[in-house]
Amino acid sequence: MNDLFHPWAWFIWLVGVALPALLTRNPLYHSILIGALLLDMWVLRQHRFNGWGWGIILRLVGGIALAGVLLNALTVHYGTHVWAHLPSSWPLIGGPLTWEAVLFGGASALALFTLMLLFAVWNMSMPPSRWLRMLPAALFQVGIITSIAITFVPVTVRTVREIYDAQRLRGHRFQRLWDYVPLFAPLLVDSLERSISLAESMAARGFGANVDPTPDRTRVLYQVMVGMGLLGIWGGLFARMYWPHPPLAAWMSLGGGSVLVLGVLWAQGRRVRRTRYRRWYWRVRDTALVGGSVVLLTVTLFTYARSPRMWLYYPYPPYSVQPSFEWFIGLVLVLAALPALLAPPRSPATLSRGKAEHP
Amino acid sequence: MSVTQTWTHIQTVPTIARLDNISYVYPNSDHPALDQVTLEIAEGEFLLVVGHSGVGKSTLLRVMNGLVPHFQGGRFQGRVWVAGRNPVVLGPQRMGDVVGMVFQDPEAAFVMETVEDELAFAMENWAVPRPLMRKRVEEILDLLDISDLRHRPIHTLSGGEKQRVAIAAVMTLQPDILVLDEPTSQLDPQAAEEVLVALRHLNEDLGLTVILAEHRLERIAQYTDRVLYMAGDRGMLVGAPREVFERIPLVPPLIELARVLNWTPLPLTMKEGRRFARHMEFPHLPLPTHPVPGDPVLRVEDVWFAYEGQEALRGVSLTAHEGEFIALMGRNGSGKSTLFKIISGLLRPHRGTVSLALPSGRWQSVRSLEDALPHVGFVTQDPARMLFQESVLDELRFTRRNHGLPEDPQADMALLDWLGIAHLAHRDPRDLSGGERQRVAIAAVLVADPRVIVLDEPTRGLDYVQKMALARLLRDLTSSGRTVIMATHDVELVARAADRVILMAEGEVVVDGNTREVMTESLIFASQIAKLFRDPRLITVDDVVHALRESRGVSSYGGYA
Repeated sequence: MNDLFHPWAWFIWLVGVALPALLTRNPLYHSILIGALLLDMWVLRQHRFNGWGWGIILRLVGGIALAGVLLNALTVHYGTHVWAHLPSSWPLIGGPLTWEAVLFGGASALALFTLMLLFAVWNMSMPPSRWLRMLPAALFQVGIITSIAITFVPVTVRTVREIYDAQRLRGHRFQRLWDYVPLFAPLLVDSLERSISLAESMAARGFGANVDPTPDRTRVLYQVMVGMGLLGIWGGLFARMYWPHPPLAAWMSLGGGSVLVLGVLWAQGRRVRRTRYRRWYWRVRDTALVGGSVVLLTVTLFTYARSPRMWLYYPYPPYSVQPSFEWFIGLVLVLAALPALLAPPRSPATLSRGKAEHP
Repeated sequence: MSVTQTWTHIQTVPTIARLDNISYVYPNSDHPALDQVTLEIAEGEFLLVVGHSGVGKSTLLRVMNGLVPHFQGGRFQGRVWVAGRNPVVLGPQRMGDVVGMVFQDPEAAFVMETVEDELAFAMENWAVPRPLMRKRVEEILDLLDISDLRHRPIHTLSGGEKQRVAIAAVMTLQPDILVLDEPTSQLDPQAAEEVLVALRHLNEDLGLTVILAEHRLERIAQYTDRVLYMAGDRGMLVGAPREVFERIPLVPPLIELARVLNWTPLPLTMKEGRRFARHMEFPHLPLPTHPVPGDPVLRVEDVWFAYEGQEALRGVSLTAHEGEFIALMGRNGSGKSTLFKIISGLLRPHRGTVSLALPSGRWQSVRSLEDALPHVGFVTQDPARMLFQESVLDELRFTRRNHGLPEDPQADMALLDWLGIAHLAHRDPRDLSGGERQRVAIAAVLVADPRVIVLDEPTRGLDYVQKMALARLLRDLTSSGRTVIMATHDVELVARAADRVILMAEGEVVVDGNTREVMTESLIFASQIAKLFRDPRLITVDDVVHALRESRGVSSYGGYA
């Protein structure tokens, strides 16, 4: 499989970029992140990973920016730089319109766009189903069920379209809610039939046969353990909400409960006899990606702990309309482009194989 | 149940599966789906299972790996033995490494997103060690010639590719027997051919035992060792293809003709058939006159259409006349369905016009669904997409209401009667067989009395007998002055029913002509009989019988029927 990075390296990079993107609204920092992510996307695309089309991204930017800027500018009437007045008798939008509100809306839109872009890039080389298949053995069914759900979606969308057309061709009009019965009834039947076929095909390929039956007594023990574990976790969480400084017992309850639940999962997992086909390779570039991401993560956390003001962007008074800029933060944020920088150059072989894969 | 066993060479070959007097009744049913069936299958055998829809073929195949009775429950009797194991005791999950099972609709059988993951799925379940998995995936990819598809998302594959991947996905466990339940019924002829070629390869080169339920006998008959015909209540018949085909109703036209003319040994291939046909000459037979078409009712002029920049129709023009039966043929994706959607007003052409002749003689251009609705009836590919009411009569009532027509139960019953489904009037359409559902869908469209009837691949999943019944029905429609336009891959149906063939490719009309001429000139879009004689006067069995009657009087075909 032509994966560029090991899933764990890829995951740490995601966390490293997501953290600063979530912490700040500073448009300068976000511009750097967006630039880096667009570069990643461009390079991944060169490697024939499918993702969003540029058209979709443009429309997304337009949509988010429009909604963010417009909504904020019209509804927040705070700030000193006024550029227009709406009659104050108009509900909600009436009042002075300020540049601060426009800026804040724009900065929020930019932040949102960074996050969407980040997940888009992440999904390009690592579809969610593949993550789910890395779950512990006891939870492998969750992964497979999700994978099925994902494959079910395109088929269902097509079926809905076909039924919709077929009913319209019989002269049916879809206007009120009630009119949608002719759509859902055949869809339900179709999904049911498809589920049965799928279940048959899975059974015929040995799905579910690889779990050793748990002896009755052990099963009861496990159930008690999971029950106690969940109780401990809930108790601990509740104590944390109730007391600002929870007693040690609350932490122990939380920790002990988690250990119990995880322990049962692990023990059950050992009863599942399954092998995994996918194998992941750890290459030098994975180490480099993790290294860079850890630097990004550490600098972010460290500076934020020392002085949150360094990351703050809030154009309304008494703060400055101009975003602050620390050169070393800016430099570190460039690390978001690491996937693009570390990706191997495309060889003619990748090119031709890529063509065969996606004609 | 009487069982006729004809023993051929298999006596000397070890048996791989044995069904001993098995009976099975589905839960909530009092009619046995299988009744005292006894069958032995030899190692390396290619067994073809044929029979009318709903006769128990799928049930029988599912016994082989224990899906019956494990999946649905019900009452099971008798003994089953497959490759040394008892599937009734072990259940389907533990039979996967001896019986590979492939189903009708490959799309509904896939679990993973990419081809490679799908191939590994069964092995992961069986806890096959990773190095062995790697090796087997590589082998299977080559074996079924799908290595170029390995990284592809499954939903991007064509029908034939999907079914080959489905076969590969069960072959990774290296089963001794491959069981396939009508694997080509959802495919077009080219894709079906791909699958059947792959099966032949697995059987002949690898010695895999193959059990195949299939409607398309003409392509596969010559490769099978034995044929099992299931006749429902009248028992079953097992034997060499020639022996079974002598005696069963579901046969391709070549064999039908051979039986009429008493050709022995029964030809299974065109090559064998041509040996007999070569001696037949009808020098004085006139070319059958075509019915003169009536006035034009539908005009498509220079129609263009594109989906998101992908051109689907490029300057299509055609005129359909009153009482005409037009067959629209061509590969999947050649633009047939798009053309239908434009004729019915679902899509609007980007260029060009579609117009309909109103009864008043005026022409109306079709720009929206509303323009076409009163005049064009569209029977969609899968009748299950259309039908949702609780009874057949309700379906007709629903269409009437949509068209603003008054209720008329008497006329509805008369229509059902004419279609031969009056006895189903109060049944739930979902409980009916494929052929019956098809008729209900046609009834639900005809009730609005359209002048033009459009059918998108109506023969999917129908057997020979059902197809011929459909052909007769559509012919009757045209003799009552209606125009029928049917998209189909089924050349035999076209030969029997259509006046005119329009062949599409890449969004263009490539051929538009009289059925007899098109069939005689085309290498691929020709019926078996047309291929046999290469004579525009002879394209169906009836043509040949008629020709013989003309030239020598009633003599040699008395044995038929």
